[in-house]
Order: sequence, then structure tokens, then C-alpha cells
Amino acid sequence: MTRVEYIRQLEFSLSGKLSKKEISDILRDYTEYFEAGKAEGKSEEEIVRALGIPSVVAAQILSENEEERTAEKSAPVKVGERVRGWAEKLSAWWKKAWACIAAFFRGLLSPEDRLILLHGQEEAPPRADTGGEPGDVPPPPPPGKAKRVKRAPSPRRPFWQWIAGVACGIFLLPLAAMGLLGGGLILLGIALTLAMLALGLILLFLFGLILAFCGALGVSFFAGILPGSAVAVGILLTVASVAGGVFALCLGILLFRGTAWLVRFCLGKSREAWRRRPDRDGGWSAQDETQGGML
Amino acid sequence: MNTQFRKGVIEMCILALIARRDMYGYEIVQSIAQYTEIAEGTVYPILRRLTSEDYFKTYLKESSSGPARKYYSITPAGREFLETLKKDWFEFAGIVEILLRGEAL
Repeated sequence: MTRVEYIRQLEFSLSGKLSKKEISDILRDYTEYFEAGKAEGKSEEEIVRALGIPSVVAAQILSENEEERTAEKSAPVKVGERVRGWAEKLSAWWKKAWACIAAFFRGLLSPEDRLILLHGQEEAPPRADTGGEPGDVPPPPPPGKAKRVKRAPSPRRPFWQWIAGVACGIFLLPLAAMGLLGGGLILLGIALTLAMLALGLILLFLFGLILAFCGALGVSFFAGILPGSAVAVGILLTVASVAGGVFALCLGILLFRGTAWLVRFCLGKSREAWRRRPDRDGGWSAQDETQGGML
Repeated sequence: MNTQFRKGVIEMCILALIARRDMYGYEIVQSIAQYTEIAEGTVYPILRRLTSEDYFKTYLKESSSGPARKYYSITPAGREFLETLKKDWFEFAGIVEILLRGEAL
């Protein structure tokens, strides 16, 4: 194969897959390589053999390009890909939220109930570290509970786990109430804004009609005062309702975010604590791992 | 040797070579090819990627024989990257050596 043939094959393998500018840049590099080899007294045949098969070289160029593109986050993304990215994010969020809810309800069950649910037996399965003192060591606290309680409960006493469960319930109740209140306020704000806006617009329209009517009749008194003040009231009402709605909306969003932040704060802290726990029981580990991954 | 592994090592060698002085493509390829057998055409794609990742800058310089040569020079980001790679490599190589010799860790 000659140099011209080599370059042509390389161009053929790359064409359509890279921009013209990139291809000409690449071909320039290889041409330079041939020239430099020739200056050292190598034959074209030798250089071609050392370079390797053009299609393989082209494949590597393309794969390196691919690598670089995935490494570059700022690269422009197509609209479809972006939408798919959002959808994936949304579904990931939903999965996380669902895992939180599920963990919460699992946390409400006592450890014994969980064991029975998990293994379908009356007795808890034997554990590796209970050899010396059977029945004395309780199972590790369920992850749902451990995640929510700031003071890590002693794993030795199921009693503490009950306290922790109740505490976490008490702790979460106002949070849930706050979240509900926030959501309600947001909805109320939107509804109120829309309703008042409609009312204000109707008023404006009606008194506009009266104004036109009076004007047509030539009644100067009514035309001047009554519709004029009515229009002012309509405008005021509209502005006030919009402002009220926006205020309610902001308050609702703030409440919602505050709740979310609190939940994340509590979950985040105790999640770390849970991760650091040594694995005490093979029976739990698989499930705990999945939860740790999801939360 | 595993291709992926080999590619990573060659990438590191290229960075180390250009960190010493600015070089042009043929020079780089020959410096590596004189020690190990590689398909010489596969060095340019790595050079291109490292350049587009801002680890190298390129400039053209006239040569007495043939067309202008494209020289590669390392950027501060490239140096930083090389330092990380070197640190990882020496750590890794140390452990591999211990394991291969069969000594206790």
C-alpha cells in the first residue's frame, strides 16, 4: 500500500462520522507522519506497516472521540436526549421518594414483625454472632428507623427501638403536617389568584360597558363618577388578588422546601450512621444494601 | 496485554514525554515505539483526545524537510493530570510488585 492509498482509506473510513474539518486535520497529521518517516529514510511501505491497518486506526480515532464526548458534560445535547434525561431524573426522584415512604412504613413495624414478614417464620433466623448468648442480642434496628433517629438507638435493647420508633413518628408528624399545609397553600394561592383575576376582569368589562353606555346617552354625571370608581375598584381588586396569590404561593413553596430540607437533613445524617454499621446479620444485608443505594 | 490497560499506559507515557519538552507527532511515536511494539497509527488518536481535553496545546513549526510540523506542548492542566496519573501508577505498581513477589503485605 502506498501513502496515497493509506490516506485515502483512512479518509473513507472516517467520512460521514466526523466533520470535514476534523477529518482534514487528522489526515494532515498522518501526512506529516509519512513525511517525517521519509526524511529518516524509511520507505512508504515500512511506514504503512508500522502505522497499522487504516480501518483499525479509524475505529480508534472514532472511539477516542466518543470517549471525549462523554467526558465533556457541556457538549450540546439534542432536545430528545434532554427530555429523556429529565424523564430519567424524574423517575429516579420518584423511586427515591417511594423508597423513603416504604422505609418509613417498614420502620413502623417492630423488628420481630419484620423478621416474620421477611422470613415467613415464627422464629427469627439464627444469626452468626448469637452463638454465645442466644436470644440476648436483638436484631439490628430496621433501616427505616435508624435513618430517621438522630440519637442512634442502642442495638442491644429492643425497648430503645420502640422508643425510637415512637419518637420518629412524633418527629415526622409535624413535618408531614407542614408539607400538607404547604401543598394546600400552594393550591389555594393558585386558585385564589385565578378566581380573583377572573372577577376583576369581569368587573372591568362590565363597568367598561356602563361607561360606554352612559357616554352614548350623554349622561355626564354617571359617565364621570360611577363607572370610573368601579373601574378603579376592579383594577385594585385584580392587583390585590394577584399579590395575595403570589404571597400564598411563596409561603407554600417556602414551607414545602423547609419540610424537604428537614427530611433530607435527618435522613442524610442517620444514613451515614447506618452505612458505617458493621453487618451483623446476613439475612438483612441484601435488603439493607438496596435501601442504602436507593436512599 | 489488555488493550484498554495498554492504552492507559501509553497515554501516561505520552504525557510524561511531552512534559519534558515539546515534541512533534513522529518524534513521540518513535520514542514509544523504540521500547515497545505498538501500532504507530494509534498514538495520534490519543494525542488528539488529550489535546481536546486541554492537556496539550499545539503549534505549527516550519521544518527543513517537508511540511510544517505540529508540535505538542503540555499545559498546566496536563501537568496536574500527569502528576495524578504518576501517583496512582507508583502506588499501583508497588502493590503489584509485592503481590507478584509473594511477600506479605
